[in-house]
Amino acid sequence: MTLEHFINTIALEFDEVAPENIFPESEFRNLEGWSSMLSLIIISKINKVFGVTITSQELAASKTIEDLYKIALSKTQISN
Amino acid sequence: MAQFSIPNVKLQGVAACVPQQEVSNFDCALLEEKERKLFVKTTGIENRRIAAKGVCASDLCERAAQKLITDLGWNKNEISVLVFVTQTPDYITPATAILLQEKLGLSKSCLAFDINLGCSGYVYGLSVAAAMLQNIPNGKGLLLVGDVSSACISAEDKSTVPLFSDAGSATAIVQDNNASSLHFNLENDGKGFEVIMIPEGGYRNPITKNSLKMIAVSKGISRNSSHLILNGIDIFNFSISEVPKNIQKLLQSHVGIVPEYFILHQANKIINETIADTLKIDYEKFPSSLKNYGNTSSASIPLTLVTQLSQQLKLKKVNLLLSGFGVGLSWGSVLLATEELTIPDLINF
Repeated sequence: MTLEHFINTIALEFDEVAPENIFPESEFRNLEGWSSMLSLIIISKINKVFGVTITSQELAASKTIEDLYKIALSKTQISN
Repeated sequence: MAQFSIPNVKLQGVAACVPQQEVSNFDCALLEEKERKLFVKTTGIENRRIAAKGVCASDLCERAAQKLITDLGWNKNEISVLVFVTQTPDYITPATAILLQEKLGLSKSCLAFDINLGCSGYVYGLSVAAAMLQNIPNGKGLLLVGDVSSACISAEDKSTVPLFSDAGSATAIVQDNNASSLHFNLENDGKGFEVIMIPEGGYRNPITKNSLKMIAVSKGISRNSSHLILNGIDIFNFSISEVPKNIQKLLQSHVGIVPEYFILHQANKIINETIADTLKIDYEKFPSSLKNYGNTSSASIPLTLVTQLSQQLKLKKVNLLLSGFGVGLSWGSVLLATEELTIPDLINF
């Protein structure tokens, strides 16, 4: 799982933000179109593509796209 | 592990009843227009049925039961078991099943009690009713399952309002020495008790004046402590990790039985699609009542049988896998065969 692949996967779910405008340091809650429903869609997408689950506490403790990536990456490494 | 089989019992009919009042999520004032489209696309829920004030789950179940008893031509005096599964009883005490025994005109010798379970409740209720009936020669029993979830959620909570819908159901179960066994796999995990809960109003946290104070949790979500709280992400994670494993274990224990349909609790489309995906089973085999009836809690499995599979179930033998999961956390599946069930048309209350 690379950071680039992770960002591209998530970026697809943001209808209102161009993928090239989503960066590791982007605060996902401030991106146009973010909502609790979109958070569920993204958690589901991360699970589908990378096979890891992000809990509600982990989401609440994350600010940026890179924060989410680090959590997902650590879980991939544990499962490997 | 609670994997077990119950012989000599079979389903004979299923009925469902929903309130007349229909509301559309495309008109849901709590959601912005863009959110409404995303919500419907993700959850699959377009319309919901909402009970009028004062209508209880028992009223919907009673109507379903009366119709089913009539259509089956049952003698009410022969009904010896009545199990009512709900999280929205008429009263905190006494058990609503006992009121239903009287309202339905059943004999005093018909045992009646409630089970407090939500979305897993149909499968659990089936196991309890079947276990009791298997030892009653020619015994007849009713499993009544339903909820009016609309009564316990905040009208100002966009995380619950567009999801929940109200329904009641009745399932007729009989003892029959020639019946195929029902195979169950039931599980639960109390660590997740806070994922879906009503925090106050029981005896751990009794109602006080503060319980009714509305609190703005976030944009579009205001509620008080007597309202239902639902943590959507943790429910999603629980459902997609535990339910496929539970189903797979049950199927592996009974490899000779191949279900034609998988009837999952109707939580939302994204959960059920992910479960189907994990099981590597075509989503076509997962009938859904979400579009017009939303998440009807414990009633979602029988409601789906009545609204989506009635023709097949009335005409022939069908192998089914039913799986309920949710509040508790509690989850369970049953593998069973039905044959020429009696299924009245959906009843509007």
